[in-house]
Order: sequence, then structure tokens, then C-alpha cells
Amino acid sequence: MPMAKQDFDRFMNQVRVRLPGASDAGIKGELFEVFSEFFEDSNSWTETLTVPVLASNPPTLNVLYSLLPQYGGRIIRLIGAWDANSIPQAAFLPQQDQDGGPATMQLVNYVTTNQNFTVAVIKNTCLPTSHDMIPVAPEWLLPRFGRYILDGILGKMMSQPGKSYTDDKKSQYHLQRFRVGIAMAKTQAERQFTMGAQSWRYPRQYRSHGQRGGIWVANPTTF
Amino acid sequence: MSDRDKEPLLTVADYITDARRLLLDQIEPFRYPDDDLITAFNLALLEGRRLRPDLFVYRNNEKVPYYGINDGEEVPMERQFRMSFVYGLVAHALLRDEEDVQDDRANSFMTLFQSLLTGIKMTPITGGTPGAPQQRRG
Repeated sequence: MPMAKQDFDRFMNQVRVRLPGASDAGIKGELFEVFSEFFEDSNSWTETLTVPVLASNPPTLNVLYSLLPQYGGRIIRLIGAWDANSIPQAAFLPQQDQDGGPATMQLVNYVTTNQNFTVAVIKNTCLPTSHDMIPVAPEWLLPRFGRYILDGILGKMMSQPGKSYTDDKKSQYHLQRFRVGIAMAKTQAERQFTMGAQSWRYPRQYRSHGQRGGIWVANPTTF
Repeated sequence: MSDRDKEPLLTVADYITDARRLLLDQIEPFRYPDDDLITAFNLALLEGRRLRPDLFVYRNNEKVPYYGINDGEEVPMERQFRMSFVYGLVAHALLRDEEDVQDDRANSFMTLFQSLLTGIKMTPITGGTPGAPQQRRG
């Protein structure tokens, strides 16, 4: 879902107050760059797609599957693909989402039965913006990361030369906070927005089934 | 449109009317014809494009709006910058006069126009009736 109007209006008012002499059109234009940098570096905007995969006879590997996001944005990376049995399947993106066409996915191994794959992707904002020049972004962006976005827009606007709001020193300050915010968003996204959970898990295929390696014991404790 | 919905300096006619007040040219026959003021307005928009491209490049496919007649056509300009274009219009209109006083006022309005677009504080308006001639001392 797109950003809520009340969230965006409140955000714009905060920016207007801090940037006297700035135009709304200029703020929205620069906001596209802020969103682009935030989503590109944080990988925080994700979507899960259902992609129908057809078995081919004879088996072929050069089949490209179009990935079309349902909730706006532009696909930039592939997180993973899972078959109908929730088993991860190797895949890659030979073509990212561009203004001229959708992203495409290619499987490494051919599929023997028709089935629906679950594909998780990372997205970024895209052109064209809405009719009132608001960049495309998910509804949770401003409520969750609004203060980092605010630092980003202030930093980029204050770096513009020859304006009433030009301030190199404050620009550096705000851009530093923006980069910290991107790093925090990236960490939160990697941990799937959980509290206390670790982002790395011990590989499943190498886990032991007992406290003593290689020796079966009664009531084993698994990790 | 109710009074609550009206905004100052919304149409071409609003800009011309306000400029005539500053030029003290409200009684016909006008010293500054409508065509001259429309031309001055278009020139002010061009100058505004140079100083503040963000006001224009995101609209109208980067073109600067052009107006041919003094009518109710809406001028798409953000509220906080409308007054500056009135000053720009007046500055260009005054520049055609040859009197020294008008040159001073023209420069003053041009400075006002530019400072409102690029700065925050307005510069004071100068230029008017010359003061009494100074007497020699001693």
C-alpha cells in the first residue's frame, strides 16, 4: 500500500519548517533520491511473489520468468526462490526491473512438474511518481523510519548551492545521521524486524544430533 | 470559488493588478499598457527559471510558462514565491523608463525579486524622490 496522506503531509510540514525558502517541488524531487538511496542500501523493502513455473519437456534451463511486484516499486535483488514443497531452489536475476520492462528470474535447475514457486525480492522506488510528484514508497516507511528519511532530505537539500537553506556543516551532520539510519534499517531487515534474534543460523545440514559429536544418546538435545 | 478558497496572486490578472498598485498606474489610460506588463511578467518568469530551477523543472516538461493576455489564467506558482514575481514584473516594467529615480526603483525591485527567490530576508526598497541638495560646509 502507498504512503498514508497524513504521514506524508506531516513529514512535508516538518521539512518545510526546517528549510525556509524551499519549494515543495524541489523537496519532492530530492525526496526521490533519498528514497532511492535508502532502499538501495538497506534492502528493507521486500515482497513475496507467487510465480507459476512450468515443467518443460525436454527439460530446458533458459526459461525466463517475469517478476511483477504487486505493491509498487522496482525489483532490484532476489532474496530466494522456494518450490511448492518450500525447498529452496537456486535462481538468479538476469535482468533487473527497468523502466522498459519487468525483472526476470531464471532457475539453475530445471523443473519436472508444474508448480507455484514462492519468490522473495527486494525493491526500490521507481519512476514515474504519482501525479502530485510523490515518490512511490510503502506505507510503513515514514512511521518506522521517518526520522532517518528526514535527515536524508535535510542533508541533501542543505548541500544545494546558492539557496537560502544552504548549510554545508548541517548538511554533513544530517547525511551522517541518514547513513546511520540506513545501516540500522538494513540490520532490522536482515533480522526480519525481530527483537533479540540473530540473523545468522547454524547451517542445518551440519547440525549435530547430540551433545557428543557423532554419538547417539537418549533424548538428544538439538541446537 | 468562496472567499475561503481564494488565494492572493493566483491568476495573471492578479499579478497585473498588484503590479499596477506598486507602479501607481491604476487609472486609464495606463502609463504601462497590459502588453508591456505581460511581457515584463514573462521576463520575470525567465529570470526566475535561472535563479530557482526547482520551481519550473518538475512541471510543464521543464518549460517556463508563457502568457499572452491579461486574463484569469492560473499561474502555477507556490504561495511563498508569488510576491517575488510581482516585484520582478515591476522591476522589468520600470526599467523601460529613463528617469534616474525610476532606475533606482527598478534596481531595488530587481534586488527584492532576486533576494526573495534565493534568500530569506527582503532588502529594503530604495529609490524615490531625491533629497534636498546638500549645502557646502565651512
